[in-house]
Amino acid sequence: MKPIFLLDSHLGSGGKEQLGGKADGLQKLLENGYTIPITACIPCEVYDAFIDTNDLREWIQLELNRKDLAHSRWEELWDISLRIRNRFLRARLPESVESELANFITQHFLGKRLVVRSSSPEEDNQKSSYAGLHRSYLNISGIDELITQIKKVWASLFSDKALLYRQELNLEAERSVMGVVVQELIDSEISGIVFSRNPTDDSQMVIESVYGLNQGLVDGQIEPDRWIISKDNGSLIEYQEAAERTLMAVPVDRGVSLVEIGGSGGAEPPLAQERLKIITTVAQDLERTFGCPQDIEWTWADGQLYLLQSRPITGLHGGDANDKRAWYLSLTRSYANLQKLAEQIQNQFIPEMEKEADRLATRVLGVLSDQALADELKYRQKRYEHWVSVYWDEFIPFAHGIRLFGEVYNDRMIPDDPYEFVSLLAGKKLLSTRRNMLMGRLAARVEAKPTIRDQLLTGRVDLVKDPEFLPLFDTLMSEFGNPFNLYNIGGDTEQQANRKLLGIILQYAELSNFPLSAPQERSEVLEREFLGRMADSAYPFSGAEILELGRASYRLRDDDNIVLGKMEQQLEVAAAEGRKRLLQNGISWAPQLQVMEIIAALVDKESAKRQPLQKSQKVSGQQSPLRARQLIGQPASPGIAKGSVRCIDSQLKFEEFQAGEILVVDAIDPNMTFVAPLASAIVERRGGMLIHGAIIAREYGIPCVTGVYDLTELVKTGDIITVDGYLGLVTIQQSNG
Amino acid sequence: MKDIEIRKKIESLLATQMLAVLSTQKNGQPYVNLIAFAMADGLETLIFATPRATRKYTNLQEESRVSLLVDCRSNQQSDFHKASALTIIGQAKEADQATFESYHPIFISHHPYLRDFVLSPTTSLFIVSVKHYIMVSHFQRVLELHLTDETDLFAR
Repeated sequence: MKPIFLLDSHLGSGGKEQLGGKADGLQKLLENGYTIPITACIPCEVYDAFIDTNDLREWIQLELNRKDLAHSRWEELWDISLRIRNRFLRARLPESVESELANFITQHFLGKRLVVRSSSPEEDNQKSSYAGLHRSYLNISGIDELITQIKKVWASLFSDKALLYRQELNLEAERSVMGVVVQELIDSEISGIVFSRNPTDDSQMVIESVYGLNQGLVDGQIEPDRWIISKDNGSLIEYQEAAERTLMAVPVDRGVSLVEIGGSGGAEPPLAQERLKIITTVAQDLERTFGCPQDIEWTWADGQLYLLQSRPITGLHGGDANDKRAWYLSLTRSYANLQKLAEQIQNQFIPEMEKEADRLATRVLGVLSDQALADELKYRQKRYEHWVSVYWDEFIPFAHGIRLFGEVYNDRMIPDDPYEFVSLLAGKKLLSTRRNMLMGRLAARVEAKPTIRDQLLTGRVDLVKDPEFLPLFDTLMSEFGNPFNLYNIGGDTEQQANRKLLGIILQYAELSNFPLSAPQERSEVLEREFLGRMADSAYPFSGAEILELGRASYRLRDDDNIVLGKMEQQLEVAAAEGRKRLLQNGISWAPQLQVMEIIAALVDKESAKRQPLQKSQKVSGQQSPLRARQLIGQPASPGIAKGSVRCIDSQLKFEEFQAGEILVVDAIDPNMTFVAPLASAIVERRGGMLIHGAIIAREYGIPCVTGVYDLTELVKTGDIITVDGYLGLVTIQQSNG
Repeated sequence: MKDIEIRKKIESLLATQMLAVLSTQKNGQPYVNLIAFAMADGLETLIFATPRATRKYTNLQEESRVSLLVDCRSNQQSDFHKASALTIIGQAKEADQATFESYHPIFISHHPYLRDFVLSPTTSLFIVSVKHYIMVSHFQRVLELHLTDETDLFAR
């Protein structure tokens, strides 16, 4: 089979295994006399040749089987996808294929702008129509760019979305393949989609339309006009006009941009009655031809209707309420959306949250009655829950800014290390590193004046007479509070919490070198190179803009937790006051009570006294015959370290952490990373290259492995382990029994 | 990962494999052979047979501590993500007559074509008491199952 050939009405169907779903559908449209743009297909066997020439098949398998994907978070799937994509971009097509492609494009598409679309044999069948899991690229010109986009389409076989739906897609690296559709780009006046059957009402069909290319509609960036049509007689049931009709997607010099429609162009709906009727008829005919309801993309140019694709309608997302995959997919945001989010987070949410935490901190709780304290706790719990919900709805999606930057960086730079981009984001003064730096400066005062050490050992900061120490300590407290208050499960007094924090500062003072952020010379060189390569790119943003967005996203990913932590501290301060009062009333188990229990107990102390806490049964410690020798995670920060493990478990006894130990945690958040400068390595069960443990480890240049899924089950405090941050391995050298 | 899960994985690997690599040593010189083996009495005991004129038999007379390797590789690239390998640490003891009588049917049922070989008067049956298993999967994930309360044999 040739590596690329034109679809034509005489080719004959039945070649879906080689053509892939999309090309097969287009072939059938041709056979049935419909007009489609000039379309060529790169069959699936070219994908196979590419994979085998570059020895990628087993490499992909190793990536996918590093651990059971069922134990992987979406972030880890994204990481895998990024590594595969980068490896594809660095790989070469077989020379003969490259030259045949070049000749073919010159012969059939000379001077035309192109569209490159995925065409997987698994997609677009009646059981599954996984729109959007694989990729398409518009307005491509030149053979080099075409080849790059073909590789990206192939890599999208393993996109994060495809990996999420791997079971439904029957995705297996051993046999899954991808064809590619290459089409001329139709510079359309209007475009749209039609569902020959309304997914919510069998008796209707739905037509949507926008001015310009379909891109704006399918990306969700432009709201379309919508017509609901009766399937019985083709009559209009309902017309939903777009709220505003001002933008259209058009091909620009490179890529596609959203531009103002201009003049009175947007005054009328894109589809007039006559064309509406034609599309209705086409949809009915295609449903009959293919024997099932169709999802059809169409476009109109120079008076001609072109069909871009027709595929069966199937549901992407099941009705399972526990299926969070659609939510993960919703985290992928456009540049424009992320920019808006950045502005909102930086200028509205963070300042509001800080202001609220500061306001709460000024309230004197000691003077409140028990009832008033219970009300205050209720209020603080409610406000904290509010901010947690903002965190999930707004802050977490904004973290996609890092990923978007990473993808753009890798596309332009094609680096050997797919995480090279992180070095351009790191070292930009995170709140957590500022907090640690303040603690480091306090430690430097202890080093300079050894008498401070003895004073601090009492846990009373007010005894320290050093003129620099106290103002620094006040700054630390006012900016960050005492992180030990945040996890005040044991009901510590302020002095006890301070003693724990001061203990950490004293340990900082013992460090021969306080870790500084990783050197930045290299990242400055890379930054210049990246900005240079972005100069003639087709993105709807400049290099500086996307870098700024990436940096804001990286910084806020850490900082938002710190600010949220301040709200949590204020809740905890009130809870601590409640526990203290309950203790004074003879409720000895008060230190173990949670916020809602404290509220109930404050209101009705007598009942609370009659309801002793159910003590959890402690499981007797019999040594398991199962021992881990070596566990696999992701290499999240390079380096190697051997040392004794300190597991920070749910008791969160950070004060026990000793300098030089290896921090082993289920999941770390920035409010806990004050121990990072003391750690010789960090290992985290939660996976991902961009999670907080990985971020702080890279900031300090210490090895880090993330995504070791049974870590806390198999590694215990006191074990001697080696952490290999290059390969993502944790080797247990000596078990503590 | 629970004990029971790794036990099942080990049992499954041992039940489906015919051959193991046996490591013995003489005067500090390691020596390996491919041998036919069978699992007996669950994970605690493995058995294999060898003619007495062999080097491994001589070696085992002097040093009964052995290591074996059982794996499910197919000599394809896919082994790197698919295959599991099991290193077995144990002690091999030559079967006396009574032991031979109770164990050789197990060996023959696992390897019926080796009946003549195992019943030959020149062949000895060895019983390996397993101390622990080391299972490698996913290319580099290594878990150990300790059957005896031993100290770490490989501690430095």
